[in-house]
Amino acid sequence: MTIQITDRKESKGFLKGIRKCAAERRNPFSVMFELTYECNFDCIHCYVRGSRKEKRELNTKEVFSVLDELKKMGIFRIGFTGGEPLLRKDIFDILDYANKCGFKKGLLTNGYLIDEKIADSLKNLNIDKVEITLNALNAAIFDKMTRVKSSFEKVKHAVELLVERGIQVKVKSTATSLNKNEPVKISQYARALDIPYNLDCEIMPCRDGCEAAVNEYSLSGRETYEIRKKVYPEMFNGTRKKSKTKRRHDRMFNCGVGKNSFSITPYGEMNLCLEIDHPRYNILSKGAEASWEAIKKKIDELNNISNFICKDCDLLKYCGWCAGRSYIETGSFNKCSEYFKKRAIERREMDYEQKKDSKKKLQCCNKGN
Amino acid sequence: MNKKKILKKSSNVVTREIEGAVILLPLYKTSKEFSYIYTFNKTSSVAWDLIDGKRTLGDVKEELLSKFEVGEEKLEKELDEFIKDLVSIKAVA
Repeated sequence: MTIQITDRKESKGFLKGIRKCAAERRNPFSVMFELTYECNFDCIHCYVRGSRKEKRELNTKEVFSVLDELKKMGIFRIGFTGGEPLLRKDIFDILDYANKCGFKKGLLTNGYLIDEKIADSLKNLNIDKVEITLNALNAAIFDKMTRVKSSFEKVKHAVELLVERGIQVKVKSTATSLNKNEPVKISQYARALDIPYNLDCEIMPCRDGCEAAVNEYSLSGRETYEIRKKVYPEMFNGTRKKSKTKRRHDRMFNCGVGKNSFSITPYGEMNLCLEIDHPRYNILSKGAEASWEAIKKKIDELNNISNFICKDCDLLKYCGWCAGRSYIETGSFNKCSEYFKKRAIERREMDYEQKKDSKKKLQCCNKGN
Repeated sequence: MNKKKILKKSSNVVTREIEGAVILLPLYKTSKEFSYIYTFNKTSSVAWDLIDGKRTLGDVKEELLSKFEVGEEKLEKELDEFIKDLVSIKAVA
């Protein structure tokens, strides 16, 4: 008769085990819950822009009902996101309710509203992790990306307030043509604070399919490769073991969609993920279990189509194709994405060049010997 | 073990059963407990359920004896340790 006590370091492995188990059984484990589409920033690359707008978002009581449903179906981890979730007047009631339900809670915020008082409240409400977008350490670049004056100082201060309180913080950025020299500095800043840093090199199209930001601010594959090499040197110098997970060629969805995760809109609809708003099922009228079953059925249908577009493609090895992005870009889950195709061709060229270089080096070494 | 003692669960903890694992989560963690996860094995999760603010520890022991094939002395020792652990993390009072 024992209580197993798992500390912060070990808990990661323990939860990974449970998540894997949930995926095998196809039980949902984690959820992204968009609490609002309202935002106090107007980031140049935001994919939430163009989201479908309904008359009103869920009220407090309705959010609680959704949380009850999630608890019943065995969800363990919820990431509260938006828009900017801290703009909701009832955010602390929601976090308190989620805490009492026994969820692990993450908050994805731009950090602008976090002052001492809010940081204390987040600590008291037992928030497990706060993720803050920090796209630059240069104030002018940061403000240019958020399109809000003096936003940098507030956001950086928010990160430090949370760290001071012992709250787990993760900073993340999207690499764009505006901030391409910043990620290395941000990763050094994160290392100094002993917090994780995540760099995303892909700009998502807006939910209405608009790709203006993608076209204007995207970096080339070569540029992102060079940035990643500097930000994550351990991934390129062989000191970190590379993940063995490879994209499966016989199925459309290689992520957690339909296995152990889904997302929820501010209107209480269950979606496949944050990127895709089709199909959607209303949790309060249909029920969470029934909605999840419908999502699984949809994923099974899509995973089993006989004419899956990527199946015999030569670029498959180099392509990071995602059904969600393909849907936004082309209106179909089973169409080639120009964005990914371009990236894959670039990756193939880089791969050829690297192999050629290695061969040359080897020949030089042999001659030397 | 004081067999007449009645323990009550703290309102500051909640348990969840996720994929067969029974997890005890403190609602308001101190900095020391921050990010700790407490999990029960099968017997301890039954014992946890039996702690209801009404049953005495003697009642809990008797019910556990009727549910599991275990000697009385061994069970009493284990239950005693379990209770001490619960008290130390302020899950019961």
